[in-house]
Amino acid sequence: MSQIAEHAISALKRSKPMKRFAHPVLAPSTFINTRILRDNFKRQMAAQNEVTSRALKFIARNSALPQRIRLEAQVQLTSMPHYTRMTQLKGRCVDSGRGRGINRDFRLCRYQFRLQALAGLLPGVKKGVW
Amino acid sequence: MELNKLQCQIFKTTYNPQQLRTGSKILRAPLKGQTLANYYGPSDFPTVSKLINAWETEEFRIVDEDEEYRLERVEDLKRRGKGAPKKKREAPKAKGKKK
Repeated sequence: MSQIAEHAISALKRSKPMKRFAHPVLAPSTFINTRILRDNFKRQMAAQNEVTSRALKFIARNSALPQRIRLEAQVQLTSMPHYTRMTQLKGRCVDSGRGRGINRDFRLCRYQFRLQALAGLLPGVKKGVW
Repeated sequence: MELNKLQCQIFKTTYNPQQLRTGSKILRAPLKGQTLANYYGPSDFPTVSKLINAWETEEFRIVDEDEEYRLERVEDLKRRGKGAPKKKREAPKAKGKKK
């Protein structure tokens, strides 16, 4: 039995990093399409570069520091690639990839939300009747 | 002025008489990168087919309902003659030059 378990664990762990982006990122386990892959990549990159950009922003906005250093920090901040910015992220439906009409609490678009709620897949969600 | 300084000493706040913008609110804000990065869930979350690959043995069968439904539907389509077209054996003949 333990041998089977080991084999199973090794098989489950196998997932390859994607090569199509500037830095390899693992693909998400949910519904996948190009736009979700792109958004996922941006999310990973934004998380990785968050501390750097936060520090640069602090230096740039700190008026107690000399002007030259602040300017340099601002230049460095603006020269970071677009995919490291938080503002590039977009909420997408986890189950269909739709980019509009997303309920952020459930990470679903309105249609998927309706389908799953009616099917009873979302705990605590009930159709309103009055 | 003196009162302000004393107040800052007592409550351990920063004494900033000129009201300079030090950007401390940028450092104070919580880091949210990890939450945003986890939006789509873990990348190694197993799918049904992966679970079947990993766990299925001779005695222990796992049923993938969606896959079974798909196969059934394909069979049904084939029976009605609506299945996918067969692959061509030979390469299509080269077309003549158009005038």
